Amino acid sequence: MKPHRTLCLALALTAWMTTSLMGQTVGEHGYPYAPDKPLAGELEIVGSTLMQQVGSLWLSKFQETHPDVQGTIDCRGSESSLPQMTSAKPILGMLSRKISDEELSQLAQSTKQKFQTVIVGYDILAVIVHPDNPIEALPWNWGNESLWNQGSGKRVARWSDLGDATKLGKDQFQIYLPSKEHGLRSMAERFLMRDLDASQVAIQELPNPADISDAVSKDQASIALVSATRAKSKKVKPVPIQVSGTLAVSPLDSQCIAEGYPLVRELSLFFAVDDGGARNPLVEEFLAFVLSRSGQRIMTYDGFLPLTPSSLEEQREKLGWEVIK
Amino acid sequence: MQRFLNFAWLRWIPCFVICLIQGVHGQDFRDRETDFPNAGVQAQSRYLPPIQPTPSQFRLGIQSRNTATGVVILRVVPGSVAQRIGLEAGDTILTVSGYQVGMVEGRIYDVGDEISRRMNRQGSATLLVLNNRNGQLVNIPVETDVAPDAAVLGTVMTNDRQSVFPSMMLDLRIIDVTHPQWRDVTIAESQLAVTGRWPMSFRLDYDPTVVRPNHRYAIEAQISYLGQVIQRTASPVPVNLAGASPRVALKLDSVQSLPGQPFPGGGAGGGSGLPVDQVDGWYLQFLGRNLTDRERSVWQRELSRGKPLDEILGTILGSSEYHERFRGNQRAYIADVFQSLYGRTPTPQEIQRWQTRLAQLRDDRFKMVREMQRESGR
Repeated sequence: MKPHRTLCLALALTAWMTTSLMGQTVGEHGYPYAPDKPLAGELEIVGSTLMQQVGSLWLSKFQETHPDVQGTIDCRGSESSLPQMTSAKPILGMLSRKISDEELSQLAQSTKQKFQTVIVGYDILAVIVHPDNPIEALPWNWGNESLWNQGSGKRVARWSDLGDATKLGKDQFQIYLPSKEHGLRSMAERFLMRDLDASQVAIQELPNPADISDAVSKDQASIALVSATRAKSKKVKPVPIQVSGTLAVSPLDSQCIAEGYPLVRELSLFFAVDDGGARNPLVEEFLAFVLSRSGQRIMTYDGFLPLTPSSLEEQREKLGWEVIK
Repeated sequence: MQRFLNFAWLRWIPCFVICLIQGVHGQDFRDRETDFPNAGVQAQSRYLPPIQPTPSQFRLGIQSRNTATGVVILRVVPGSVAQRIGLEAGDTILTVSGYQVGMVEGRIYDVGDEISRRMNRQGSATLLVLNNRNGQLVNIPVETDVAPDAAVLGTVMTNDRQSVFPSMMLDLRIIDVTHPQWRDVTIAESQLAVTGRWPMSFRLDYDPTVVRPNHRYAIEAQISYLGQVIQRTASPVPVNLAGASPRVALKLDSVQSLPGQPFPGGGAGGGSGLPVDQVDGWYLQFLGRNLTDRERSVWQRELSRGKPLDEILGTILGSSEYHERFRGNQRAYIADVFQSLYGRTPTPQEIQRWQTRLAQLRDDRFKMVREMQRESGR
């Protein structure tokens, strides 16, 4: 290579390095946690067992800034958090499923209090199959909110409806479901079972997600729904979901929410508000922390995704906090 | 001379231009991170920039409401970019560089997201605004050089240039130091690649709405590499955020003791001895997989901010992902955590003791693991 070419190439490479790597300011999205002063008091966190460890990490980090706050966590499941909300202490419920309007109004009637919910993060769910399964993506029908009912009248019922099933040994879906008491069960029923003819598929219940992943890794015709964190093992194959004509989004894509990935479980906090909509000051401060950069970062520690920038702003607006764009 | 006058070498200029463009837009590729299942084959000891779905923190300075016709401005922040380009309460932003914003077919297209996206890709954006006063449509350009007023300007100098080289990262933070027990109340932070030219100049923007009038603030800096702090300011330098664009000169000292030490009997830790590789080794040992890009980025950041390695180990051992591997068998879980921390098999009595303790802690595994860590000294 002639010297001037070498020089130009070196110059070009340097330019690329300089512009792409150097002097670039980077930062996470979101709001800093900027408290006014250390608070004191008792705070109770109840609800979802799925969110228990995140709740514990939130509380422990919150107490670094507010050492005089005594916190307790008592998680017996999203369902059981509702009756616990009558406590006289400042109390927050963690929910790994949507609370219905009916449940909220019943709760309001029985406790003579009003309640509010905010979304604080996401549990991404993944359809997993055996690694040898040739399927590349599953189409999502937005109208029916279904993987199997594509609106054309014909429903998917067997592997051969989705392509070549010869490698799978059998054409019938082998579905592994978590047991009824597991929080993931209702999600599996909603996303995996709806619109499938139960008489055409084989279903087996297993007690927990680790068993389900193991079973899928051994059965070529199997399919199951697990949290995306549990789909990172090489023993199973997470299936991207085709959300539009050409766009298939992987559950392992950290931007999947923004790209419209539909198999998502919203994680929320709920709490009492007074007649004027005001919240207990300790609850308010804890919410400010959870929705700050620090609080959102903690979601990642236990395998969840933080809120997207626009969802974060939506939640802040819902709480009546000033949102500057 | 003849060779120099032969302009054939000009053919290489397009290559230079393409590289330049690729460099500028390279950010787009970095915005998108995919955690593929085969992340296990990733190279060790690589640096990943922090996750940043919206790389720019650019704010127009409006409070707004999304409607089907666009984004209605409710309030304009005094001194903001919005005020300077003439926006007023009641105006409606219809599009950002041709992209509709507000409520479109039942879905919210956020004006802040759209401006950040256009600003990052094109360096500027054009707002189509319905002027509330005269009912006219007007195109208003917004440029990236219209930076917010609230920023700390300064320089960073190092006492030891030998141990610092380009590709290391300089972290800057404005912290609230009003209360002595507050160590991590950070109101603004930024990360710059070390250029190798000293002193390094910086501009650290902050959101003036989070600055409280009677609070005291300080700025601190550190240079880190793969989650390992190499140099840092000896103590935070006070900064007065009440004044206009305060200036500070920071000096970095070498760090003698590194944050955290490799876990004794460290199992499958990375061979490099770098903290983030140690974390990756624990993921492989305890969760059966490597760190995803997102996790690597988060832990790098936490390590560079001084989070001790043993706390990260505790987070892994308390995690739902690790706990699930024991399929609900609490005794097996406790025995495994015990074995990892104490380096020996627990007696049945010890398992029983920790099982009772976990029940007392209402299944708060992180607390139990932290207690075990304190007791075992690991």
